[in-house]
Amino acid sequence: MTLFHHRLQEIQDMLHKKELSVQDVVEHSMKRIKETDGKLEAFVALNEEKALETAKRLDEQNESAEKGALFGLPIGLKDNILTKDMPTTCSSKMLENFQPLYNATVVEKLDEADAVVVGKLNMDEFAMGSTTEHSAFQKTKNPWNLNCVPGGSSGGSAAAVAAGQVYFSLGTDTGGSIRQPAAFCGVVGLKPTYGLVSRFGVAAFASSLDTVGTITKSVEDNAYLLQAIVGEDKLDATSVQMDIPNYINSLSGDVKGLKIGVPKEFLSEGVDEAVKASVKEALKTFEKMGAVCEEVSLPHSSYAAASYSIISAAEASASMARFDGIRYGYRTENADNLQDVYVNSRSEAFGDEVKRRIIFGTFALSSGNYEAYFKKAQQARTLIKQDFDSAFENYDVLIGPTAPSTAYRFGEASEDPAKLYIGDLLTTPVNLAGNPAISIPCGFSNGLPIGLQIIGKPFDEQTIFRAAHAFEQATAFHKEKPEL
Amino acid sequence: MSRLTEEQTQKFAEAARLKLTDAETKQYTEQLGKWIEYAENLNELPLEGVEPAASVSSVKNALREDKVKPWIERDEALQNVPEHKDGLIKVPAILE
Repeated sequence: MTLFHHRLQEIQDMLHKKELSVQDVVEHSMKRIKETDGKLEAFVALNEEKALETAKRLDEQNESAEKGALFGLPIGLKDNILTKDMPTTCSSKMLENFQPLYNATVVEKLDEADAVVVGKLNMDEFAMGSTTEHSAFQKTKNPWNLNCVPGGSSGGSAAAVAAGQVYFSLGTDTGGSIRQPAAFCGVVGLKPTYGLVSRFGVAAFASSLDTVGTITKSVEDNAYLLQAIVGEDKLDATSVQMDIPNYINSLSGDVKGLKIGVPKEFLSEGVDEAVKASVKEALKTFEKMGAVCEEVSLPHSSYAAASYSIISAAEASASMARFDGIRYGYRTENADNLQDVYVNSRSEAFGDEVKRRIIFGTFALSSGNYEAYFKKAQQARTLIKQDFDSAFENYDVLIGPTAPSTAYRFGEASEDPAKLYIGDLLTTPVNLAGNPAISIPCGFSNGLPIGLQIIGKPFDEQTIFRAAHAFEQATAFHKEKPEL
Repeated sequence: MSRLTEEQTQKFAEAARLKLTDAETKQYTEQLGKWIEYAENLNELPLEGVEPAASVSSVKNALREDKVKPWIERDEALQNVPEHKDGLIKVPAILE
């Protein structure tokens, strides 16, 4: 049993009793990264010197009574989260040498909670993708099978937690980019309600959908990590002012009488039999614990992938407009005039997937196409949100698979893009509606993990945590670890 | 319209300040055509009178005081600028 298999409070106790120092914990993380990252390639940057410096400072502070809730725990960040101590590349040639001048609000909050940022994690370029194969730098492997992708776009964040390289990590989820890699890597990934966690200092992909969330090895850790990063931020105009609940207190283990809706569209054709079987088994586990499961319909969810693809591409085309080679980022050497600087910098530095989405988005927003595509996508979004609102009049949570299959082999998804559309069917409706959802391990097929998705009402992360935690207590899937 | 011409793809690329190789133009034209077909599934929906959702945020008009606060200094801000001179960002001549 390695150090990171211990519960958060156990590590805190060992630190408090001086059986362990923060330097030990951070060194443990660094050692594990050095042992395994040659194979995994989850990290794009390490911050060893600074992390050990922080560890030393925290050890000196260990005497004082005031300690942050994540005291001494090593964390990795998806590389679209700005860090002033480390470059932030979004896994793009465009930002290969970009050094942020300030921290994202979530990084400031982690710092206040005394967590130790050890490095930055690989992702699909600008978070566009669902396999992490679209990184400009490296291909992160799935710790359960090195021939498979970790999922994406937060593939590095999920792989690093699954492999025990860090205690936990942050990712971002615009259309499933936390939940799907969490499912593929057998870890716990939460996409919070839109507006719960500040996005200030997080590179935008599609601003009406982007969220920052938490990837951990247990539901309990997830609750602690979320607790540390939530809250209103004046620097993010979409962040919500509200009384923050105590997420840890919601982990009661009791789901008696919990009303679970099972969207029939989420178990339709296109979802692998092994995945369906695991999800059905999970529902039985909930019933044994006293929850009530009933079939429900989200009639417009089959339109979510189309709506999502239009809205996200349109917003991406706007988000990417800031990269012009002038103020920061890559600048071409082939330019005689200003127009060349724009065109050649962008054409030379953006990867294939980013270019494709910019062009699709520009198409959908152009005059003549705006009404026919973009507006229709937004109208469909209204219907999709209404589906969720009416389902939640009768149910506390909705449960289904996170992904239609286990992790793909490298190259498999690009050979068959239909796979990706089916994948989008399960996760994108939640982003369009803005609700929170978690993915937790619920089984294995051919040695690869299967994820269970639990969707909640807006700002009701507590009920999601309660259900997920009860399931975790009743099962042993989360205890399985990949051998590396 | 379910298929695009390569000229149309290039027009959208130019609007987004992208220059495509011939291979890219061909590939994106084909992919964009398929994507449009897929997007047109939305035509099956009765959308008459449905309000478009630009956002699902519950926040309306987030206001804050318009006050000057300390932020990044000029020298710092220039750190990521590819080319600069005398504290200003340098670009190729705009007027010939």
